[in-house]
Amino acid sequence: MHSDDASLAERVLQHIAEIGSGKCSITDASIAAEQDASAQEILAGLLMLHEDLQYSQQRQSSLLDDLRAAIRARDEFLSVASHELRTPITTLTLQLDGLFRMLQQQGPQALQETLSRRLEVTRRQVDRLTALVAALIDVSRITSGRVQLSRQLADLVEVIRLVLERFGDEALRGGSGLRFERNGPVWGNFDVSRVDQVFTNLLSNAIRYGRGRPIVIGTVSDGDKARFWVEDQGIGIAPEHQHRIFQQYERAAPSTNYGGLGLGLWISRQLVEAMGGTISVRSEVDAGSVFTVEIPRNG
Amino acid sequence: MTIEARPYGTDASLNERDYLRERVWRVEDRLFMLKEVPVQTPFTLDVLFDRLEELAAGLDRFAYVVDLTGVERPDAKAREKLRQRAGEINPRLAHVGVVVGTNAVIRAVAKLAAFAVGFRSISFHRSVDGAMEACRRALR
Amino acid sequence: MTGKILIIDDDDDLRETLQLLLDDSGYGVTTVGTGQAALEQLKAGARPSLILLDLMMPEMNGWQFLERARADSVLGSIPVVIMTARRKGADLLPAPSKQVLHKPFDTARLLSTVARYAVGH
Repeated sequence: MHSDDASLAERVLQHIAEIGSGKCSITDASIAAEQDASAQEILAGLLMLHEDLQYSQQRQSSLLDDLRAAIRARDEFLSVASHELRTPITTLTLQLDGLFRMLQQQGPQALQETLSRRLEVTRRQVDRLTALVAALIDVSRITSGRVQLSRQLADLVEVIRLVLERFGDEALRGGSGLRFERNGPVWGNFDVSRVDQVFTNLLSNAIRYGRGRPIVIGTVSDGDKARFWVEDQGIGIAPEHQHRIFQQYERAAPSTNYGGLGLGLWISRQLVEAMGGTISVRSEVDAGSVFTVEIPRNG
Repeated sequence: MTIEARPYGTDASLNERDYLRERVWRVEDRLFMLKEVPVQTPFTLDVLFDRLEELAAGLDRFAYVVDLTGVERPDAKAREKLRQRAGEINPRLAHVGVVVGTNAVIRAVAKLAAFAVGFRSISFHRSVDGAMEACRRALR
Repeated sequence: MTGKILIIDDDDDLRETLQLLLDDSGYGVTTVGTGQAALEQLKAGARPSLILLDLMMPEMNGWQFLERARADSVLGSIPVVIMTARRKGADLLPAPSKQVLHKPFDTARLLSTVARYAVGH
């Protein structure tokens, strides 16, 4: 009937206006109370439109929250990275300034005593910067999907051994003994430099957080997989942190005492996964940690 | 065992999943029947549509009757899943016969999904027989 | 003004470098690696005429140290120069900090800044 249609049209328009401003006064009960079936359909449709809009808004706002959190994490990372880069540069600058001034004001003789020490400090800053830049480039490559693997036939045991040789001195300085438990050769097609990188990261962590206690490294060939692990008796990682440590920008260590960007494990995990493998940790606070990497022998 | 009027989720037991799957069956060549649950969730929709797709595997054209009697109005999340799954079978669907009884609200739900997905051939009925007939006609 | 400077920075190499440099320029320099250690020294009676403070440090960062300083009348009267890599932030100068040295900074800038608050002999 004409007047009923007109009044329905008005009600519908009212509801549409409501929904446009995020509200809806239609309820399942009010729909049930309608006499006309078409009116019921229309009002039900409007109510569901409102619900769909609310749902979509909700999802967007939680996406926004995620985005904000990601931006915060990245900003904090940039802050730390900036600090980690600019501090060694400051030291470098001041050291070189100092050397230059001494040379100018007092001549080369004056340098003799301190030159060696100063150069050591200078060299160390360069090493730190090199490592940081390499890490940042890795992050950049990994996040833009440009990791390229180059495999070659190699014995994992040899790769590990070479890293251990490099580390020999450093481990001794920290007081940790390094023990290598091999279980026969582990031949396979590996990206040697990436395996080296991952193992180096795990070993550095073990030394850094190892409280000077003995560190055990192991390798084994297990069917079509190769496995290596690094076990320390250091500060350990609390269960609630154990999955977080592999995340970007995260560090489970309670303080930045230990320096670094919190990227090492994230990079390691990305590389291991790019190789088709897995990396995992078993750890207990105050008792130590075991990091295990398993990769296919024939990628 | 009957499916209760409560939302089923991914924690449903294997038994419950089997009972859900049994609500979809082949009636005859290219014609299927789907008896919806009282409370639709993204999970139940997935289980039922998975079963329908299993039964209709390999068919380039088929039709089904969906019995919505006793169904409560699904929420936005479930309706989103409905649109998604319906959209996936739409290309092969010759007809959907929807049994809604006299429930205008549920009819609106079905229509919204059909329009969103572009169902080309849909009809509404008070009984299963009516819906079957409409499907058979469309399949000829 | 006296020539005593307290440096608070968790980076060993930078501390050593600053110490050498400022020593050579005639200042009396003490360095510590944490805010906590600095507070202990000050509690034990140390009275530098200038504190060089790194902001990003473990456990107690620079901001937290400044908070403690503000709460203490003696500590709060010692001028602080902040060393930081950060570029933005109006929050960069809470009292008693007087000035910011942006990393990386060179010798000339360091010495001219320090000279405003302490005298070398």
